[in-house]
Amino acid sequence: MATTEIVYPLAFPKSVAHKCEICGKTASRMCAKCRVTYYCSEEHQATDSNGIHDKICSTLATIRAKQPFLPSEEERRDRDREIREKKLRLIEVTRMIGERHVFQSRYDAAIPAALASLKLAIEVHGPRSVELIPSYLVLAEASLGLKQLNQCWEYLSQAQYTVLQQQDHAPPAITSQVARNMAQLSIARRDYDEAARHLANDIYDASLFYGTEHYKVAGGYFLLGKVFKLMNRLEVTESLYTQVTQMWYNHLRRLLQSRVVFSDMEAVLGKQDNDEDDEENTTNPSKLDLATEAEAHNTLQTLLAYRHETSHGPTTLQELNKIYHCFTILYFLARDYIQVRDSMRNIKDCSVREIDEDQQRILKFLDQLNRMKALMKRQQQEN
Amino acid sequence: MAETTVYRQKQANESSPKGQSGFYRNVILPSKTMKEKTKLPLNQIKNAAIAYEKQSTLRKEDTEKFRSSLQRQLSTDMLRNGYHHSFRELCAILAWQKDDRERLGAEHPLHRRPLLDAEPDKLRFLCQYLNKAEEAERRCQYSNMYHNYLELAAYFLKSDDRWLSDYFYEKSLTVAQTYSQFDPQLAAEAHLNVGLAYERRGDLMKALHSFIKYRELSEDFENLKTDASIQLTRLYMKLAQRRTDAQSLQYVVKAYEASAQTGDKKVENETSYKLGQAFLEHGDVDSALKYLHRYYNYCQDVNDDEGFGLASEALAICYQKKANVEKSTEYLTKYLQKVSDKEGDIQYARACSALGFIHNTLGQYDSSIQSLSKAYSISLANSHADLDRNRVLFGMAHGMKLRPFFNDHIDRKNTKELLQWKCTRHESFLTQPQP
Repeated sequence: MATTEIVYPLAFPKSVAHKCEICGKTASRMCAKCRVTYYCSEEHQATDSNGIHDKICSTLATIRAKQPFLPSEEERRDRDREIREKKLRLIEVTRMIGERHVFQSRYDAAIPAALASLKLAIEVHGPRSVELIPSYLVLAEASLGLKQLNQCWEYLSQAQYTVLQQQDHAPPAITSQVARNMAQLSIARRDYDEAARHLANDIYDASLFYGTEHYKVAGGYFLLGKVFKLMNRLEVTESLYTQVTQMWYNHLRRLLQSRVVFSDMEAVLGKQDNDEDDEENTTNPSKLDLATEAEAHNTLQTLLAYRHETSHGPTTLQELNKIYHCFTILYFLARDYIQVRDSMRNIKDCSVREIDEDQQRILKFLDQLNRMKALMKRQQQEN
Repeated sequence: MAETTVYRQKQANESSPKGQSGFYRNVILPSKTMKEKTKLPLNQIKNAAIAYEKQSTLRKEDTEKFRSSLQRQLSTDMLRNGYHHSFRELCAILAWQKDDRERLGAEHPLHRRPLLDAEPDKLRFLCQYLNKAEEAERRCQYSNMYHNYLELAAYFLKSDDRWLSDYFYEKSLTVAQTYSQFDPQLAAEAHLNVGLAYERRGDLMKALHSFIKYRELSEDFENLKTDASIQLTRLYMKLAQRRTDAQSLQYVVKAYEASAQTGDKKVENETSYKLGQAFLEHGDVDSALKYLHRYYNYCQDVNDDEGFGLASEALAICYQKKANVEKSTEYLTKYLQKVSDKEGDIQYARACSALGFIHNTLGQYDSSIQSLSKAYSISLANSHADLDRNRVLFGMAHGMKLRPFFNDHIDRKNTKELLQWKCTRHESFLTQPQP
């Protein structure tokens, strides 16, 4: 729980008038820990501390504190550089926290986090930079989640205007993300043609940037399938969803290969590493970061539901097996081993050799893990 | 050069006779006077308003069309309608072309032509037909899909983009093969197309495989079967021409077998003639005889004079190689008779030269000189292609005739006589016995 102090707005020096973090009205409360954050009411303070303030309280104190005078130019420059670096790190952290909140559907907690990241980014990069766009997008998604369509539209327009001002120098990754969110807004507004248009732009940019078979493009295809489903053109949805399944399948399998190969190597070399060390030592490509994991999870759930709805034809069984296998890999990479066994049982009648191979590997890894854990336990008992 | 105007430009702080400042004159006044000047009569204003209302507004997508490249436009159109396979195909083709160019280096002459994405007609055509193919695939109308790919391949063949056309022929083959249970004829045709493509590229072995497959698949379809056999024959002959060793003989044999299955007598017998020639080249006179006889009989049946002539010549050469003089002369005289009514004709010249050649080899120089002179004069008159050959043969005959006498003189070391002969080159000089 945050502690507050009542603040008298008239008690400040002449040009200073503190504004609330969330809404911007004149502030009458102050956070007692850092003493640099102000709020207008208790509710706003509560939302802010739930969302982000608890995590960044101390850092904000150092950043926003009134800096004493330093005699030499060099020292001042060093200090400015340090503060700037701290701000940059904080931008990243706050944005990731905001994204995590969005994925876990806690939209009201996401907004303060994203706002904080936006403010810091404006301070560091300026009000018209491309760096602000991801923060705007998080805000847009959060407001979409809260069903505030107009607010979402405002944020997205701001993002799009920034993109336009760059005059085609914006990296395609960002333009594709903007277009994807605009499409989501259009879907919420039931304007399916607009959504299709935005998604077309999104897929084109993402394909140009990542390559046509990359899993990041799958998000665009997935939304496009959703649009066509809502427009009642199911054969298009069918072909699009198959494509999405295929892309995620390939990507997850590749992650699995690299991860299991690594741990095989460890076993061969005879190292008796703990499970935790294994995780840290894995190289970047084999890590599944939180955002991708949540996205994959949502996508696969929807695909599964769709397949169960429209089950006809012999190809459906193959597709279902693919989806279950994707789930298996996902749980495995997230170290949720109980779920792994459950979802492996769901796959029936599978005639694809690759899935069998992967399952063998996973089972072998799990066995090794159990053995190592038993070994560690015994060592601990001996000690 | 500094800009100069005809009239003096007034200073900023100079005021006009009316007492107005520069600011008023330069900024405020022009906008007012402009309005006064450009006020249209009421009628025109009304018309302008109506015209403006009738104008359709540009939608967002139309403005985007002005801003983006053609590739982007076409791709987004395709994606908006859900044709994502076509989009990926397009991306793949463009990337492939760029990689190819990079691989071959910047100055390869083949790649002076513009990149595909610089040619709007081709791109549009490509996208249109890719969309159609995808639509057909969605509806499981695989023959439609096949035909669409075929159209694409034909179009790119016409515009001389061989690489694309080959790619689409192969695609149509895969489609036809995977869905061959519906229509096996398509699979056979697809093999034919792929074989032709390989042949154009110069890759004869692969073309051979495709044609063989074509032949196998077209067992049940009569017209396709004959066509397949004809293609096979042609290809085997090409292969045989390329190689000059024993392999080529095998190819010609295979060509003959294939031609036997065409059911077309003409092709079969022509191949038989070629086979005979090949055997002759490799020294196998008997088998050559067999095939050449066949061709000979056929030509007689069909009254093909030129073929008849060729056959007779070849037969004569065979018999001559077997040292069977009468038979060869017999054939040649028959040939002469046949063509004797066309005296000045090339056939006649050929017949005479063939006869002369035989006589030459047999040592009967007089008769050979006779026939060869005839051949020579005819070809001289017609300035025929065989002129050189006849010339050579004629000269040879004369030379061969005089050879023993020449040797004789050399043996006797009659250099003076020889020199005299060389001055006049008259025959009688040499043949006359020494006084």
